[in-house]
Amino acid sequence: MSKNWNLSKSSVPGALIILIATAAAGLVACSDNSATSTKLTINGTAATGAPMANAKVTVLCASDKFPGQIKQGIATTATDGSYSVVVNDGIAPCVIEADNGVIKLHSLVDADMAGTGSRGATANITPITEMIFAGAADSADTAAFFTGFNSDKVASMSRANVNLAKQAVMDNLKLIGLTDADLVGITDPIGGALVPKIGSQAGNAYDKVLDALAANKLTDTSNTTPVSVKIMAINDFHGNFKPPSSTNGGTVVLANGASTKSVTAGGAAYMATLLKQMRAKANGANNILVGAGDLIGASPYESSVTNDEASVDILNALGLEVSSVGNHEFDRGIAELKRIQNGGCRSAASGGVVGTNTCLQTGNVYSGAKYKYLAANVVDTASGATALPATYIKRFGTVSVGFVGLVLKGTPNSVSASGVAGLRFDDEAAVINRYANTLKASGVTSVVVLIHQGGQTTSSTINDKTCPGFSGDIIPILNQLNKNVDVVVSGHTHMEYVCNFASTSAGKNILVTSTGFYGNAVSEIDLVLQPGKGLIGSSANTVPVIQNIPGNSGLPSGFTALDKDPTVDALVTNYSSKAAIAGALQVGSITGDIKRATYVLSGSTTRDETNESPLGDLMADSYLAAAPMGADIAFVNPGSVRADLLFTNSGRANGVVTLADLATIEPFGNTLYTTTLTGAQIIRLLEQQWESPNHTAKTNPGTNTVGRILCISKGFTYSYDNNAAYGAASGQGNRLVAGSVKLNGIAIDNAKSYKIITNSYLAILNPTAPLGPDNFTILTKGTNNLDTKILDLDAFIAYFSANPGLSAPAARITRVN
Amino acid sequence: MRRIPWYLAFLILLTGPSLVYAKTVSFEQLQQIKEAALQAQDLCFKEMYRDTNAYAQCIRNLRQQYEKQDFKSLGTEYFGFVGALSYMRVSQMGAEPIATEFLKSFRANQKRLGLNDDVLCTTVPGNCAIRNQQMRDMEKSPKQLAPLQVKCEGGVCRITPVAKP
Repeated sequence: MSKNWNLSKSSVPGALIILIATAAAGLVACSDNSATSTKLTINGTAATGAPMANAKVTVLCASDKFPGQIKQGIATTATDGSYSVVVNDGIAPCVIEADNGVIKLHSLVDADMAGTGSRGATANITPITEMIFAGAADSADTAAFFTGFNSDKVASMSRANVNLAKQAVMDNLKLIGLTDADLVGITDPIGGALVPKIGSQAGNAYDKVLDALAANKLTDTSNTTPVSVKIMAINDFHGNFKPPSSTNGGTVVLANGASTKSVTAGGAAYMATLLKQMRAKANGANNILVGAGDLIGASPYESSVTNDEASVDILNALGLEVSSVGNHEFDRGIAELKRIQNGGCRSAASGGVVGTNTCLQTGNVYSGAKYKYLAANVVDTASGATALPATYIKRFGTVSVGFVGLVLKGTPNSVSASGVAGLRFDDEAAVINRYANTLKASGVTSVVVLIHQGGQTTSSTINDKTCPGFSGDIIPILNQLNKNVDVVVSGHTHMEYVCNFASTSAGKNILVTSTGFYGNAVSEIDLVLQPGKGLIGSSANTVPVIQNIPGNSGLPSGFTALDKDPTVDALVTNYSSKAAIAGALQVGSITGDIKRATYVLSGSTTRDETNESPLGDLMADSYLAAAPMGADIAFVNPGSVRADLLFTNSGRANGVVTLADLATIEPFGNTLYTTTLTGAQIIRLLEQQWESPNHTAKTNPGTNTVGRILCISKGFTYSYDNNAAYGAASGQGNRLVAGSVKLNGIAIDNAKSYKIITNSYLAILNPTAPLGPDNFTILTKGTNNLDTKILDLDAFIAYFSANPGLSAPAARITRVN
Repeated sequence: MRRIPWYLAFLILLTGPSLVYAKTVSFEQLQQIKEAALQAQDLCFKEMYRDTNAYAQCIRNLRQQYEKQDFKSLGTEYFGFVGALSYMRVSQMGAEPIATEFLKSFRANQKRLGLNDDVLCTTVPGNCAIRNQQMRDMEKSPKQLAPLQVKCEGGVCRITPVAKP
């Protein structure tokens, strides 16, 4: 069996061999017989399915008596693979190596065992513990890690590290065909019972898993013929199953000699045709469609009104198989993301209406994503396990590709804190390296990273493989990756690139791709993999999803326009109709336009956060009306108001307000929070609108105004002096006109408490985003905080339903100067 | 202002405007442009996908710092254009107006300092033949940029250019 494992076989240094030869004298051997020493006893079984008989077992441990030193014990296994080693003056953590002259396997005793006071531990040594060891050690060269084990490496054997590695390995075992039932017997691969089969004596459940594992070997090293594999990749789809606007993701620029050609692109029905063409070019079934996050969330109305179930169904139809999560997958929290993954209707308490905005498939069901979301660096802080699987393995005949999926560690800075509550986002590079090592130790031929983090290039056409001026947040990550990583499929920046990046840490070029956004292109990545060797060739192209429409005639050489795929087109039409029906429902009425503050910059109308927003104030009124047991004041961040509400709009009667109108204005799915602030805190909150860094975050050169102006509810008024200095340090601003801050005409009392209602985006301070979203830290410092669980959109709808004939409210903020 | 000799004017007609600003710049001056462009890339480029206005404002703020340093100011503005142009290749909303804004502003500076397009292009990596042609196309046929709005049809809303009355 051992020959099937693609494990490290690096030689043990000569000195250690001599030491082993000298010391190994039987089943038990001690390095020191001092009567004063404390003894640590490690026992277990070494097996690869069959027992590893007569294998040398070397144990290296930390020492409590001699801090900083490493203590050693050596033994030889019995015919059933069992061993027992005593390490004088040793203490956990320990690393263990079994060497039968054919292969070396490793295991460990984690550091936390030392805290139990126990002087004994069980540590089996098997191919499964080898993988766990590789993950915890963050090294595929486990033999080298073992021989170099010293006090600097002790920390890597923490229980947290070991548990993460163990979870990744158990996930991988399932991916290569082992079932939960198969794995019942090895809930603890290191310390659990292991009885190998010997002659007529049956092995136990653990042993059967080892046998099954051998039969499911990932790499057949007996066949070294190179294999071609095609990976098709998308990112930042954001629910754009309909072609995106030509001015927002729906156009791409192609090189045409020394000139360029702009073409309209995107749309799932067109993309389906492109994917079919790519699959037809692939080496048989050796292809896979993957994603790099933000496939849903921040979606157009026709997707968001279905709670993005429409997009998932269409991505299923496109044949998507695996994707990293993106920050927007967390917009509605991990529980909702797991529902998106696993299926089931959105609950009525969360606004779900079966057959209208959830469970829209035949039979009023939602079957979930057929593709797997990966989240290797997203850890459930309660359990210490990843919130979703970390890796995915796909076999292509005699080779296999291991995928690691993850999201930018800065996700908490861009998502409402309630969306990431209870989750930790770990450093990207460290996580990638750890899982790449376990995947390699598992025997995969190549490792591909799917990461929702990216960069930018300065090219002005797509598919410029010179990758000019590559920069951005992905660069430091790429420069920390190890040699086990071959390809990085990236996203997040809405950029398109194909780069061969010379990674300083990996000591080799890593292929890095990104497709743009909203489904306007697909990365076509071709790999040549050799069993037992790994990646031996790679290339990639960004292929635009060019619609076959009259405006796209005269394409440059090498580009082809695509017809719609009828099956996916029917799905798109079906969901668009359902969205229209749901969205056309009247929820209220208005007597005239109700708009945000806007200004025109270079011909483009832009939201102006530096001035009061009438529509935002109306939204604040809806918060106030929805507050359980009432509230005094509502605050809304101006960025929450995403569109104007127009009296006249095609597709509906004048003045009618539809669900679609309100969902477009307020698309984020935040919940309402109540908190209590003192009058003094309210003053500070208002001053934060112009304090650093808000004074540079938003500016309007036209009106000479700066800052983020919160939208406020009726009855609350104040004045500010636009000539007063702005940009003061936090707590030092002084732009409010003294005595002007009033509630229902009465000046705010600094010492009095006021009940505030706001949204979850503003209300929760996340430890990883110390400035708070939009830098309004004061809102996170109130007392009596309560998540009302009321969706902001529901409050908005309820307010319009209860107040027909609404009009733009009068100004509540007075600008002096 | 000194008149352009007839033979140079003839050359310009033949080759396009890339020779208009054909003064020589020193290595140090070119380095200043490059450094300013790189600084703009480091500080501002990552804003682009999140908030195109924040990108533009970041470039404007940076340019203001170099108000009295012509070559650094040019490098900042030139990157402002190239960064926005690079996002035009995937039609990021707001990229084109920003590219237009900085194209206009760096042109004035470029002319004053006497750099031709080919020399200036070397300060930011990319295909200069294509980029310079795009600049000429944008100047030759300035696009009338329609303001954008959210438009709802049959209950489905999306961002679209405002229709002409």
